[in-house]
Amino acid sequence: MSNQSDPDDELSPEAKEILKIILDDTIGLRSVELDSVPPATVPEAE
Amino acid sequence: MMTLADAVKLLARRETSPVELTETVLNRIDTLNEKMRVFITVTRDEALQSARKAEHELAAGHTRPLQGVPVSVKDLYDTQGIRTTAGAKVFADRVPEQDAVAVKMLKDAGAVIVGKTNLHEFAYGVTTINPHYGTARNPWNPDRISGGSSGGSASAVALGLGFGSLGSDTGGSIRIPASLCGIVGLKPTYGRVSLRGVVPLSWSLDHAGPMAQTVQDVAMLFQVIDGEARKYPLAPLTGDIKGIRVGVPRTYFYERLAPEVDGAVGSALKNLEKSGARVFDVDLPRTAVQRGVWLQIASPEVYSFHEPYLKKNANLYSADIRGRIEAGRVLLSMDYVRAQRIRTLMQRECKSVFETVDVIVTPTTPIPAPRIDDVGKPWSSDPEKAATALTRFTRFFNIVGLPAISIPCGFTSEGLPIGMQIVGKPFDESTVLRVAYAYEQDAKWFERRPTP
Repeated sequence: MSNQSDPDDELSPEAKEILKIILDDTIGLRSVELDSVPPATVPEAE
Repeated sequence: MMTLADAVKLLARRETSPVELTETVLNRIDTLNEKMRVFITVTRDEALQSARKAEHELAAGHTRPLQGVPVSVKDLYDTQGIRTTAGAKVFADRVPEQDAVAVKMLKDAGAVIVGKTNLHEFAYGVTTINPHYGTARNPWNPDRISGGSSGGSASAVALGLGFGSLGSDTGGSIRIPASLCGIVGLKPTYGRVSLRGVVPLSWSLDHAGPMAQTVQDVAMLFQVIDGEARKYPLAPLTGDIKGIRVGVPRTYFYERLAPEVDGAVGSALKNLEKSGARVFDVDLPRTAVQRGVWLQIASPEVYSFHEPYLKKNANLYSADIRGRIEAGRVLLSMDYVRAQRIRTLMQRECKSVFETVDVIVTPTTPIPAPRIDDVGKPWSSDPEKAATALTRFTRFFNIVGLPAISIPCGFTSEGLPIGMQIVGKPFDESTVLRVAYAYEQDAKWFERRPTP
C-alpha cells in the first residue's frame, strides 16, 4: 500500500496559504500549561 | 433621522401608520440599494402585507412591542418562503420552510421585515466584498467597506433602510460593521439569543444579536429576541453610571491603533469618568494565543458544516472562501480540543478580572473603515493587513462568550465613524447597555447621520 494521499485530498493553493497561517498561530497553543482543564462549555452567570 | 423608539411612539400616537412607514422605507431602499448593495432580497409584497395586518391590529386596539416597525434581517437567518442565500451562490435558490427562531420572535412582536441584508459569503469574513451579490458600501463613504460579515445590516440601519436589523457575530461580525458604519451592535452572551435557523459558521463561536441606531433601539430589539428574558430581565436605561468600575486592558487592546481611534477612545474614557465611573487598568488573559485559539476552533467547525456542500458544489464557492474552509479539513483533532481547553482557562481568568470591574472598554477596531481596494494591504507602516486588523479586538470575546456592544465614540477627520466596545459579565447585558446608554446620551454621536 502506498502512503501517497488521495489526489482529492490535496489542498488548493489558497487553502495551503491559510493552513500555514493557522499552523504558525498554533505553535503558541502547544506550550500552554493545561493540567486537567476540560474543554469549554457555555459561560454561566454569577 | 427617526429612531426605532421614535417610530414606536409615532405609531402608538397614530401620527404615522405601519403601511405609510413601510412604504417610506421600501421607497428609500429602491432609491439606494443599487448603489449601496445593502439588500440581497427586498420583501416588498410580504412587508406591505405585514404592515396592513399591523394596521388592522392597531385599529382594533391590539398592540405588540414592535408592531408595524420596519426592520431587516441578515440573509443568514432562515425566513419561511423567502430565499436565504447566506451570501453564497451555493444557496442562491435555497428557500427555507420555517423562520429562524429569532425571526419568528421579531414577527410575533409585530415587526415588518423589509428584506434580507447582504453579508460576507457564508459570513466568513469582515469586508462584505461579496463576489455574488455585490459589495455592501459604507454609508459614510461608498468607496469604503461597511465591515462584515453583517455589513448589509449595518449599512441599512445607518441609511435608514429599516429601524433595526438582526446580525450574527463569530469573530466580530456584528460589532465590526457597527463600528465602521457608526451604529450600535450588540453581541449578547453566547447562547442567549437562539441560533436555530441561522446558517452556521462555527457553532461554538456563533452569536446572534441586534443592530440599530441607538442603544435604546438595540435594547428594544434585544428584549424581543432574548431567550433568557425571564431569568435575566433588562434593567431600565437611566443614564446613571456613578460608581461603575470600568476596566481598561491597555496591553494588547490599546496597542497598534490608528491615532484618531486612540484619541477618540481616550476621550470617551474621560467622559465615562466625568459621569461618575471609576477607571482601572486591567489585563486580559492569553492575548498572545487568542488568534490561534479562534482559528483552531473555527476552522474545523466551519469545514464540518461545509463538507457535503463542497463535495457537491465546490465550484460555486469563491476561491478564497473555499480555501479558508478547506484548510479546516486537515487540522488535528488534538489541536481542536487543546484550543477548547485553553478557552476554559480564558473564561476562568476573565471571571477573575470581572471580580474587580463591572465592564471592560476597548476600541472596537484599531482602524476606521478601509477603502475597498485596500483591505488586503497593510494599513500603515505596520505589516498587518487592514482586513486582519479589524478582528483584533473583537474575536477574543467570541472565545469567552461574554456580552459585548459596539457604540460610536467619534469620527475621523475624513468623517468616518470610530467605535468603542463595552464588554460585561456573562448574562449581564443590563450593565453593558447601561454604560453604553450613559455614554451615548452624553456624547450624542447618534445625532450625526450619513448623507449618501
